[in-house]
Parts: sequence; C-alpha cells; structure tokens
Amino acid sequence: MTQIPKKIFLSISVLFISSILLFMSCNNEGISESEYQIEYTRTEQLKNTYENEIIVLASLFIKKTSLLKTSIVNFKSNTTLTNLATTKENWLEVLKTWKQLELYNLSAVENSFIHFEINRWETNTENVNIFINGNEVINEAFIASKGSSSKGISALEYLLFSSDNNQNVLNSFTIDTNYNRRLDYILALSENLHLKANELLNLWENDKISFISSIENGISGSQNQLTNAMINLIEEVIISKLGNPLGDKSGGIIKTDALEAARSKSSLLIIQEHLTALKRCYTGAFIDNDIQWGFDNYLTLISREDLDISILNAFNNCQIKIDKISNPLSEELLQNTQNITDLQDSFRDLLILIKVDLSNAIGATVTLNDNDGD
Amino acid sequence: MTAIKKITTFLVKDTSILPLAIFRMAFGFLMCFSMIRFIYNGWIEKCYINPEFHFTYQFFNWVQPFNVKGMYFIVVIAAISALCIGLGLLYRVATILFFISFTYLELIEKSWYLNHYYFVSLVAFLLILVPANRNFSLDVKLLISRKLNTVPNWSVLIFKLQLAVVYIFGGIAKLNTDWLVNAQPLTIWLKAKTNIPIIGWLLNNDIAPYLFSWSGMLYDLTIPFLLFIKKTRPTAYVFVIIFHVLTYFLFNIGMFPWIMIFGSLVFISHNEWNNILSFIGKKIPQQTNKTCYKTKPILLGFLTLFFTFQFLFPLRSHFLSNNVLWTENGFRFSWQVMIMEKNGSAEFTVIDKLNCKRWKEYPKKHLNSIQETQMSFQPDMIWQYAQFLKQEYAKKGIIDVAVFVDARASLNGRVSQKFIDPKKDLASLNTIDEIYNFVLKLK
Repeated sequence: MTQIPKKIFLSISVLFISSILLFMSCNNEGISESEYQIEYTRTEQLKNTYENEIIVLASLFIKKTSLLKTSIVNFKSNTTLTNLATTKENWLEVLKTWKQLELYNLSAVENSFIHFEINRWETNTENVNIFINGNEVINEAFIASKGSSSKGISALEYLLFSSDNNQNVLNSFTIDTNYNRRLDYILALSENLHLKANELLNLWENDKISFISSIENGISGSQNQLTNAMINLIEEVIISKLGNPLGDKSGGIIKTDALEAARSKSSLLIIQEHLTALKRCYTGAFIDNDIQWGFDNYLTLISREDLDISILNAFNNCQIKIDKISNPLSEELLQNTQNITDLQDSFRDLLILIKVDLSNAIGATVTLNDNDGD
Repeated sequence: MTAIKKITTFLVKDTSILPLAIFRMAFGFLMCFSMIRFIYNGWIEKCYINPEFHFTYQFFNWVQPFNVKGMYFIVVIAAISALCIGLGLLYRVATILFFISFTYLELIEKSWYLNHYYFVSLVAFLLILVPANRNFSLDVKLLISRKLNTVPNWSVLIFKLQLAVVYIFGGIAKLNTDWLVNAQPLTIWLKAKTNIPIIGWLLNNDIAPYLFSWSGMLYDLTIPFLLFIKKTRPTAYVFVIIFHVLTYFLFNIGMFPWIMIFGSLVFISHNEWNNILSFIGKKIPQQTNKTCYKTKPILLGFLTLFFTFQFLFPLRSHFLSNNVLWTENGFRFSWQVMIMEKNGSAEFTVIDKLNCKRWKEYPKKHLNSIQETQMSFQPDMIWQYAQFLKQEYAKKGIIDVAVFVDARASLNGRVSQKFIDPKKDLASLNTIDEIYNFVLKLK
C-alpha cells in the first residue's frame, strides 16, 4: 500500500470508530443513566444481601445457639420435663434460623466446609452412641475432634427427639445407662455449635469486601454465586428432601425415614424456611425499606419483567403447595402422597426458572468450572 | 500450461521459511504454556479422573482415560513435545507426539469440547507434514536437520488456509436471525459486562450488541482475505489484535484469542518482518537454498483432499438441521464459535418394564457440574446418558428398562421450553443420531 492510501484507510477507520464511540457516549437515554443503574443495582444487591441478610442471620444464629447452650446448661443442672421442653424450643429456633442461613454456602464459607460442621444430615447415630458409651472425657474439644456426622444440629435432634414420648427422652438423660455422659455429650454439642456459629460470622466478616466487590459476571462473581447457591438449594429440596422420601431412589417405595429431621417432625418447616430464604434472596426484601435490591430489580433493568413475574408466581405456587399440607411430612407422605409430589413439582418449576431462564437472562455461568471457553 | 500445472507451480514455488518458523515457535510455546496451565488449574482431575462416566465422541468410544499417573504423563508429554516444537528440537518426533497426545486428550470427554482444541489438533497434524524445523531451530544448530532458507509455498499456505477456515465458517455461523436481527447472545453477554474498566459504560448501550454482532460477523468473513492481501495486511493484523484482545477481556475465553493472534503471524511475510525489525535496526537477510526441498506429488494430493474436507464438513449442519443452535446436530467441528447462550436442565425417569417400578435419576448423581450443564442441552449427550443409565440398571439386574427425560432448555434469552420428547423411551433408540428426531421444535 502506498503511503497516502494507507493513511486515508487508517484515518477512515479511526474516524469511524471514534464516531461510534462519540455517538454512543452522547446517547444519554440509554447509557449513563442505566449504566449507573445496573452497576448500582448489582453492587447494591450484593451489599443488601450481605448486610441485611447474611450478617443479620449469622448474628441471629449466634444468639440462638447461645440460648440453646444456656438452656442445655439449665437442663443439665435441673433435668426436668420443663427444661427439656425449653431446650427443644430453643433447638427449633436454631434450626429455623439455620435453614435460612444454609442457602449462603458460598465463597470462603463454602471452602471452609463449616456448613458440614454445623449441620450434616443425617447424623450417624451409631457413632454418637459409641461415643456416649465410651470412656473418653466428653467436652467441646472431644466433639471438635469428631467427624461432622456426629455433631451439629442433627446430632442434637437425635438426642432431644430420640422418642415421641418426652418422658422417655427425659429418662435417657436421667436413668438410662450412661445418662450423665449423654448430658455431657449434648452440652458439648451445644458448645461446639455455638463456637461454629461465631466462626461462621467471622468468616463472613472477613469475606465482606471480596463478596460485595465481586460484581463481575464470571464464575467468581457474587451474583453468579448467589444464583448457583439458589440452584443448589432448590435441587437439594427436590432430590434429597422430597425426592428420596417419595421413593425417587427406591423404585417408588415411600421412605419416611429419608425425611430430613423426621424425629422432630420439622421436615416441612425446613422446606418452608428454605423457601422463605430463597424468595428473600431473589427479591432482596430482607428488611422493610424502600429500596430492596434483588434479582427482580436486575431483571426489570434488562427488560425481563415477564421472567420476574413468572419467578414470583413460581415462589407463590411453592408456598400454596406447602400451605396445603397440614400434617407433618412423615404422615402426609403416607396419607396424601400427591400433595408431596405436587410440592416437589412446584419446586421443579422454580428450579427451571432459576437454573435455565434466569441464568440465561443474566448470562450467569451456572457451573463453577471454568473450562477455558471459546 | 493447464490450471493444475499453474496451481502446482504456485504451490511448490520457493518462499522464505521465516513465517513458517515463527508460526512453529508461536504455536509450540503457546501450547506448552496451555498444557502447563491445564495441569496447574487441576483440570486433569476435573476432566479425566474424577468423572464416573465420560461422554465419548461418536466412533471414538474406545478412547478412554488412563489412571492419574497415566494422564499426568500424557499431558506432560504433550507439554514437552510442544516445547520441542517451539524450539525446533527433534521436530518430527515432537509434532507426531504432540498431535497424538493432544488429540487423545481432546477425544476423551465431549463435554469439554472447544473449537480451539479441534483447531490445535488440525494444526498439529499439519505441522507433521512441513519442514518447519529446517531453520531457526535447535535441530539445525545440532545438525540433526539440514538448514533451509526457503520452503515450498504450500507449507506456509496450509496454515493460512486453516486459519481462514475458522474465520470464514465462524462468520457464516453468524449469518442467522438471532445474531444479526436480535443481536443475541451479545445483548445478554454485554449487559453482564458493564463493570469492565474503560469500555464497560459503552456495553450497556442498546446499540452496542448490534454493533458488536455485525462487526463480529464482518470481521470473521473479511479478515482472512484482508490478511491474504499484502496491501491490507498491516491494518488487518492490527484488527486481529484489537478484536481478540477485546474478546479476551469481554468473555471467559481462555487460550483462543492468543492462538488466533499468534497463529495469524503466519500471514506476515519475510519482507514485512524486516520492515518491523528495521525499527530496532535489525534485518534477517533473505537467502536461497543450498539444499533443495522436494515436494512429493502425493502430499499435494492428500492436502487437496484434506482441505476439501475442511471446506465441506462444517457445512453439514445446514443439511442436518434448520436450527443448529437448538438441535446441535452438526454443531461440533463446524466452527460455531461463541454464538449462543444456552442453558438447560434435565432429569431422567427409569421404568422397569417388568414391574412398572420407577426411579428418578438426577444427573448430578453421576456427572460433575460441567458434564451436567453441557449434557442438559445437547441431545446426543442426553442419549448417551440414557444409555449409561440403562447399563447401570442392567448391572443391578434390572434388564428391561425404559428411560425418559424431562429436559428443558433456553436459547439466547428465549423462555425455556421442553427440549426432547418426554414420551420417547431413549433406551429404545439404538443409535446416537436417532435422538435428533425427537428434539422438539423451537418456538
């Protein structure tokens, strides 16, 4: 190319690109305002989720585990039916808070595996009995040294709800073989749980900047991680919490013992708490204020109100199906299986909307594996 | 002189070895880095070792992974042979080893298919055929090979053609309504990238996806020609750099941009290298050969067949399906590069035909997340997984089963819809191609 045409060619290219950039930068209607909106939304959504949900729930969890520990201390010194009832109530409060917080198993928290330490279902009852009937001194250090299936919320449930009859449960702490060691074990469990609750809050506090500032859309982006966390929890409900009891794994044979927290008859409550947490995570409606930044706002900004409506309807449908069940899940499974199947289907519809439609709309990377794309 | 003679004369005409040697070095060192990166990222375990089941390629079901040590050994072999290619050391052995090891790795797992892996295999194969080590190499320094200053034209041209194939078919793939009229999937992707420094604010403009879509299509369809033409080559190469650096920053795109940027160096002639080097006062003198490199006619015949295949094979998707993005029939090995955002979800039901017992099969039980994700919207992989389930149940003594899938997929921002006919027993389909008859129509 001779020098003059080459210069002309380059000048035209530069002029063309500059014109486009200039034209786009002048288009205030679309760019600057909505650009800031999207940036603001994503940052604010993460900030809102962190400050008004994760930290609030993690702090509440510490409080609840502290109350549980205190009630077990009282129960140990004064082992009565009344104190047993109080302890059970406090355990249920711990469970309710945890089942909302459980959604947020992501970033540094996920890597720490602390969720397993807090609540690994189902508990290994055989091991728990071996430890109680053994000779080692039972204290918090002893519990800390044991595997996650022998401690946490599930192990506490096993000890507190070992029988439908409260007197039998009380007997296990007052007259049965090794009752003193059983009391030691339950106290040590509550102490360990309280410590883990504090550890969890610390992990989140240390991860604050990383979580809130990860506004990119790649695999490490927090919005993407939140989407994946929602998908994981919904799948957990469909596959483990409803599917296994419904016989998905057993050729259609109902398995009431496959229900999570069946001893305390809390299986439905757990699903309710999960649903509450999922919906709040989606809408960002954690506290009562004017601006509640969530995925719904993001969808509105990218003109996908239709999808937002579908997702909200799916949440409502799940709630309707839950409300339709008035018995504990273990009874409903046997008496009215269709209600449980309907509940599972409603979560399945929700899953498709989050895993397929929402992920497609926001360009989220559903998988956490980066395989080098092209 | 007949046309064939003219073409042959052009193909065997001497040209400087410099562009070929630079291409060899760029490719070798880049691939060595890529293999080390593969190990460093823990992808050997993720891709080859951890999965319980592998999605193999049609006709290549016999390609299976070895144990951990074996797989590390093969990846290390690939890395070392790539390094040797770059250095021009034991070149012939290195190119053969790299081609075999890399292609083997690529063929193990379909869910990790990438267009650039296929491209690398093709280039590695072509490198076996050319004397790219006959200058600027350790082989020449160590007197393993005799030095050549020039090589036949075809030995450089084949790499230019292979690059052109990627671009041209990548461009043709973009000639569809989603890309050009709806500016999808770029509308989704760019809106999600508004946090990128400097240009992030531009990406949220409604015009941006259209600008990127159309310019991307025009780039792909024109850049090989602009690179071929001497007058436009300097500007074209600047565009190559801008385009691929931009895609690197915008998308999760790994090695592909760098392979295209460095691969396109093959278009730069000896004189042009000297023009570039003149800025630092250097020059590589052009010399003629003391020894002659003879081209075997059979090789030219083989390369003609090779490129005929390369120009025809990617077109098969147009005959197999009226929407390759939805059906994915003929999607692989046809340079459908970065043209869709697709998500899916699939769960299977297995029914024992003898006693009507049914089981739900959630793919995450046997698949890792990337396998599950890729399988959920690719019909052939759905069929493969159904066959795998059939075998798993047979192992448990449940021989006569029907396997159904409840699969939903969303393409380029559309509302999700049923993907595969949920009433079709996938276990009854004997061949992988039959599954495409049961892909439901995209609404």
